[in-house]
Amino acid sequence: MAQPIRIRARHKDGKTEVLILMPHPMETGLRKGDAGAVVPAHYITDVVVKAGERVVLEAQLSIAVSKDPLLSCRFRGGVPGDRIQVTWTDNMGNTRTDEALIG
Amino acid sequence: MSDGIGGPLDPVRGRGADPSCFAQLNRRGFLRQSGWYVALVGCGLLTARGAAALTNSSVFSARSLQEVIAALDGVAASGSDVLLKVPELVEDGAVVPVTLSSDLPDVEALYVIVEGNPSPLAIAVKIPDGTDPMISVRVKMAKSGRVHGVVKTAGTLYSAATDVGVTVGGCA
Repeated sequence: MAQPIRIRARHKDGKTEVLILMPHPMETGLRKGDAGAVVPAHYITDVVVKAGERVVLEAQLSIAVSKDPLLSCRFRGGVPGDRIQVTWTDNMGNTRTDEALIG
Repeated sequence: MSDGIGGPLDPVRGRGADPSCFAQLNRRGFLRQSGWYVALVGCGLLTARGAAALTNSSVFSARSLQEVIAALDGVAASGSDVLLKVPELVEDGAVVPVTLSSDLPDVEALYVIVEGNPSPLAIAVKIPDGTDPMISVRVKMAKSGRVHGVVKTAGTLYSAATDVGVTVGGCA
């Protein structure tokens, strides 16, 4: 959760492809820990990807998404040097935003 | 086998030590996911009628694609315009790479559904104008089963499916 989102954005042939890695435990809430108690659900529920002010992706994730979600998307436009901003929110109310420039 | 960042990590016994992570079909776990349902409605991915159908958290107890699609207020139809790329055999069910894309025009949303999971709807993506109707994601699979990719355009749903064999399921 304290770890930054890793973002790689590459522009090619009029489109920008974005690769996003969000370190997060993505606990399902169905697993028992060492003490035998159920480990509470702790997972990213929402992700928003923006290029400048423009929203290019909105996603809702569930417990079925793997730990440290790795998402990839592509959109028309984007210029090298533009800012890509990724924000995630999880079921416990935590949130994190990180940015990168389109390469 | 895995890339080092998949699956739950047990501090004493290492990754994937708990074989029951997905096998526990605990009702308490389902009800806990209700926050996600609220997020779905709030983001407009559920129609008013679809939302009414989910008041009993039916999305979280749905076991089959048909039940989830009924909740999404649409009819799934197979089509060649939906491209679902997923390996047919995976060793580690904790990290299954899926890419869903479509050549259809005016795609509004993409959904990846994993039959046989306690929570079949893995991800719902809203595609704004100018964004390619494509998403790559890694999902968890509790066991071998069918993975569906569903594409929503102008209120109609199209889908494609692939059977995926999982050698070591969920997180064990």
